[in-house]
Amino acid sequence: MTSRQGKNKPETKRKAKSAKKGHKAGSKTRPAWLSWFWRLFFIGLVALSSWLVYLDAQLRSQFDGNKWALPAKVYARPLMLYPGLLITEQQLKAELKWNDYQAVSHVDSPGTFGRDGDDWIIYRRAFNFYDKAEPAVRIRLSFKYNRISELAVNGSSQPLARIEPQYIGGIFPAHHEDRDLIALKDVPPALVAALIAVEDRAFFEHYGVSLRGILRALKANIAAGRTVQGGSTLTQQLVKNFFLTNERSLQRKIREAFMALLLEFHYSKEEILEAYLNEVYVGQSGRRSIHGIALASRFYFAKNVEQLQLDEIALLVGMIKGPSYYNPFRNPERAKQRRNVVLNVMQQLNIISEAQRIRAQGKSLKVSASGRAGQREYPAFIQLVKKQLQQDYRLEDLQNEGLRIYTTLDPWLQHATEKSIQNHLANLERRYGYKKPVFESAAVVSSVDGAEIRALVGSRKVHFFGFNRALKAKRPIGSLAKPAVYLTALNSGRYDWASIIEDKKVRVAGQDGSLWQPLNYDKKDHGPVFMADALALSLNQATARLGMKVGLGQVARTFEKLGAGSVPPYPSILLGAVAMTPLQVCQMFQTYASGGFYMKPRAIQSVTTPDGQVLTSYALQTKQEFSPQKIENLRYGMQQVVVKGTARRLGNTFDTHGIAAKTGTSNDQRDAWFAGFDDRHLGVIWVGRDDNEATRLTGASGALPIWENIFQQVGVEPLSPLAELEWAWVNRNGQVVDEDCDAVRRLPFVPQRLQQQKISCEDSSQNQLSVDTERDFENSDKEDSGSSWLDWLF
Amino acid sequence: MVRLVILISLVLAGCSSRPLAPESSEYNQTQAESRAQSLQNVLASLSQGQHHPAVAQLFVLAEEQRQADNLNRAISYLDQARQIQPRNPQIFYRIAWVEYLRGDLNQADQFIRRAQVFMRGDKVLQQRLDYLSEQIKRKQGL
Repeated sequence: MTSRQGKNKPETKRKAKSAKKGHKAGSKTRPAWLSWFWRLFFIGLVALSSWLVYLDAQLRSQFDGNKWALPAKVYARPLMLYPGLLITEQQLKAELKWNDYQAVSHVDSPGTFGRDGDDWIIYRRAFNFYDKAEPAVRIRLSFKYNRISELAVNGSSQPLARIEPQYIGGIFPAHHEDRDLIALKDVPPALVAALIAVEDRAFFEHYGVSLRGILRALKANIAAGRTVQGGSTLTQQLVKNFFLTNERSLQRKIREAFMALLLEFHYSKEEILEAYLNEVYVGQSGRRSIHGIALASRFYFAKNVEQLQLDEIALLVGMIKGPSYYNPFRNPERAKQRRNVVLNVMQQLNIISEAQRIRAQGKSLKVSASGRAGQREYPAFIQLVKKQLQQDYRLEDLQNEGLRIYTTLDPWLQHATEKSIQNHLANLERRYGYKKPVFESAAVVSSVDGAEIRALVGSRKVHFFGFNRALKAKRPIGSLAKPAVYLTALNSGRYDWASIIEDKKVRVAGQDGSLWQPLNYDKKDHGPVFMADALALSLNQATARLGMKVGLGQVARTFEKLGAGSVPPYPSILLGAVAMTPLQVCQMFQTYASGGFYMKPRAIQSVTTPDGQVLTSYALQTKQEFSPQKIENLRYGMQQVVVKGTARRLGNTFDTHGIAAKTGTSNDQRDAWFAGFDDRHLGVIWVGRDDNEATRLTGASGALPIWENIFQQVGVEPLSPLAELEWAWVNRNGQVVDEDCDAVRRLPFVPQRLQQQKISCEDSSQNQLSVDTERDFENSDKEDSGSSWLDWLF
Repeated sequence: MVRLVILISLVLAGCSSRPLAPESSEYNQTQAESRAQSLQNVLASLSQGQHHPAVAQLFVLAEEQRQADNLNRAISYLDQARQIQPRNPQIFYRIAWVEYLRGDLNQADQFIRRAQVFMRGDKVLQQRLDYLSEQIKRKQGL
């Protein structure tokens, strides 16, 4: 009890004291609002801390590891140089210029070329080719008769050298950012110094935000009465570009400041500077935005950053303030003034001497002469590359992983194709009195033996990413179908070029009662003709008759073996009422051109990682579908198209015996086609209208001149024989006779068939009609008895 | 001692180069006969023989890759050689060989056919093509 009391006493005292204190505090205590203030302050502090933690996590997750989505870079084929190579000096010069090589009087740095007497000197840049990395080398070339006669690399004679492939485009993410990454150690110190001098002099002193900088900018802006200076540090600029948007709001600015502080807290100044140099936006090329000083250096000066001169460094740094405003291509004078301002600042800060400044300011503005590599892409070809790549790669990997895609494109052939199309369409429109462009065109050029796509044009507007007619425009191929009909006939073993075909009206009734009645282009009947002439003159009636006799199913099968896919066995396919894209036509003619070997057109050679590790090599795949002898025989017919048939106009330019080709014109002259090949290249050209109106053009007038012009520029190498054929004289009935027995024509034969055919002079004078022809009708009736097109009437 | 053994092993490994001829275990010939036939019918290396200088250099590079068992890259060099001389049957023969070594018998057979298109009376090459064709058929069980 005592103890309890004893315990109670002090409690009472304490209570009393407390009450007293409370009273005393009450008189001096903070008001209620203050108490709320503290509460809110602490809540705010917690919220701010949470937000900072969130910002920090966001910042670190994006800044660590791969910072940027790197688009796949697409390259043309490398230019292989070796003694004996047929290449004009004009082509060599053009390819070097498109590859951003600069013509100089003294060839002393990579990326330059010049002449030494008659010789060419090329300082080839170091490059990671898809098979191996090669250092920069000095190449000397001598020419004789448009061929390389001697080749030396770094002073010693060599059998082979390569010029690095031209950059031809990228596979970009949605924002179309493109950049080449560079390490800080590879950036010239003068560039870093200039950047810091112009953009953020206190960079190495502040912690991400510079109050002094803000005040200085404020003062300058008040004095000028407008915004003339920004107060953002390099770190803030990086934060804005890398993490944030261009939104002009206080909220964004606060966020930017905190993130800049956090960035400085976690990362070194060098890491921040390196990120800035890779992130910074420096220009635009169409849809492609140029980021980072490494790509900017290539884009504006066709040089690696390490090679930049002082005046170029100053221009590049100066442009960061306003890449569009100070664009040296569009506003050269303004860009020059800005460059000189930067040089002044550099001298003021003793980064350069006065002599250096004067020398640099005295230089004219030298930017790459609208360098094709930096300025232009090949959209139609890139679309094909992308399409073929997507069979093996995910689009997001192509857009993000910085892959290197080495393709088959030949820039010289591509250029020839583009120009030939543009010039010829303009000529046609002038000739027909059109006031504005009405014709469109597409073309594919491939190598005969490897099916590499060397050139591809999807529109006369070659720079635009629009509808790609080479890949997507399916149009009736007209008479381009005919070689398939004749190949089927030759393959049947019952026909040869001496076979007589009746060129007279033909009607074929379908099961639904419809009638197919094709006429010749000239609306005339030509009577009995040699099969060779029926193809050369592209006679519709004779071809329809021949096709019906050999069997529609057989012709459709030939189309399939040629790579044209499944074609329905309708009579109209014989004259090309089957729609194909120029690329599909190229595929079909590739099999003729390669001697009977089916090869899928290839646009890609190899895919590597950014550091050169090969991911995929696209080796040549081939499948023999026809014997070389059969194709050699067919080629004779296609050569006759050029020698005396619908493509004889080529005789004005080339030796016609060395070219095999076919013209094609669809119904109502809506589509004009030409497909032809020599020993090196196959070219397929389409000309028509997007609204599918009649063009008044034929294959010979609309498409052939484009082919002619392309091959004039790249040269024709005459076809070499694939197999031996035997030649014999025939009489007017197509029977093999001795030359002095009413012989009218000398034609090639497959040896086995020739032996069966020869007749005596007596028989030759007695026979008036080709018996074979009549017998063939019977055979074909039997063959086609199961066909859906049963009734074919004469 | 261990170091010495490793060193000798490395030297031996470095000296060896995988022959182009397929394993001879499938034949009932003596080893000597087999070697004699191999010498006659197959190449000792991809770089063997006289060729256009640029093609010869690419054959050397292809051979280096073959010895390193990097057959994809060997094909890549042979393909470059083909682009220089698209009608050279020696190149198609070599592509056929490497395809055979890669195990793509169908493509090996197709490249033999392509080589044959451009053959112009080269008896040694014809023998080699026939021999390779035979090997392919054996492997295919035909």
